[in-house]
Amino acid sequence: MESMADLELVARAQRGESPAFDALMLRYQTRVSNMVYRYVEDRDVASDLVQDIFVKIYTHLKRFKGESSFSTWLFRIAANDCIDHIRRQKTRKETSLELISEYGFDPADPRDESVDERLIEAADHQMVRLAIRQLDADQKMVLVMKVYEEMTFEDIAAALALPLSTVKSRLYKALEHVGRQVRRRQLIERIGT
Amino acid sequence: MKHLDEAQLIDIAFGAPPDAHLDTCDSCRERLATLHVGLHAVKQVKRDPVPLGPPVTARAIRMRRWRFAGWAAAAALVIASLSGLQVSLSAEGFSVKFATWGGESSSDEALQIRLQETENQIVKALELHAQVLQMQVDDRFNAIYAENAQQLKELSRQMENNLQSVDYQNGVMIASLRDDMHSFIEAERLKGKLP
Repeated sequence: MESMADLELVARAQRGESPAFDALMLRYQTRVSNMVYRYVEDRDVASDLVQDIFVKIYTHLKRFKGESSFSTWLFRIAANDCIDHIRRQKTRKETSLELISEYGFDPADPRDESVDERLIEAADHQMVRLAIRQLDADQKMVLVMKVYEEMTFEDIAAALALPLSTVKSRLYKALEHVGRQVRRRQLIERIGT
Repeated sequence: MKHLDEAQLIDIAFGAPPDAHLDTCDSCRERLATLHVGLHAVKQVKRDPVPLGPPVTARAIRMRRWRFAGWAAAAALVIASLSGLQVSLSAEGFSVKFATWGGESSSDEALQIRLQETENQIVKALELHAQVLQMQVDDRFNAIYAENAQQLKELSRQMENNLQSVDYQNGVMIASLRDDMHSFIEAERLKGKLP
């Protein structure tokens, strides 16, 4: 099974062969999980979303006609689910809880002596994460697919059903936003010292 | 002067050869520098550990769908019982009667029978749901056992490789020791210290 091409496994899974479906999922679970986690930045939410995505793939697999590659089709479902999730999410977590979650420790805890050193490094990462979080859902998806999942522009365009120029434009806006935030912070630090 | 567009700058940021326009245009160089800063910053936070859930299998997905079917069946049975739906099968065929509480019969005895039937239906529904839950638990355990078995297999393979490696090293050392001993004996023999 492991050496079979995607389309052959898909054909078998469409005929109801569970081991073929399992082999497909084994092949893509890590990549899909990575992408979803990078996108939603929450382990529990990512876990639930990944389960939902695979249920959808299982349910809709019979409709897959091979017009695109299986991975493109799968990432399209995953991307749409992630974007829908972010758009549905109207309430935000409390900032203090968010900070603890982001830093991995409580910056206000006086018992932690190494907090200063950790804080400097963590604050940089935190700032970048916040900048990424400020992106709109579509820009963030392109950023995650390109930078974190290292997909080609062509694959991203196919998965999101977008023209290549739109993909690049969204990535430009995303990186420009993060770049500006970082430069602004660097400037403030320079003035401060 | 025509500036580089967003797509061109993105291509350059991701490794395409720089355009000659950049040599003469401060504005485009600045835009590209901002992209590089953004890209570098984003890459810095990319290597956090990513959690991976249990393997997704067709069986697990089917079970997940059954969970909802189990609840739906249980709810349907309870609603049918409470609303007085009676399904009966006789030699003449299959029939369904419907009556709201007390609508079909007003006697206490009939009401008692209905209540008993309702209770039985609820028990059946709960049993059905318990069975579905049990199947889900079994499935989860099976997945954990399968994962553990895989890990044990991997550990066993690694140990076997290590043992083979140690075995090989021992063989080499024994052979080397034996050669040393032969050399020593031969040297001693030549010196006449050994017969």
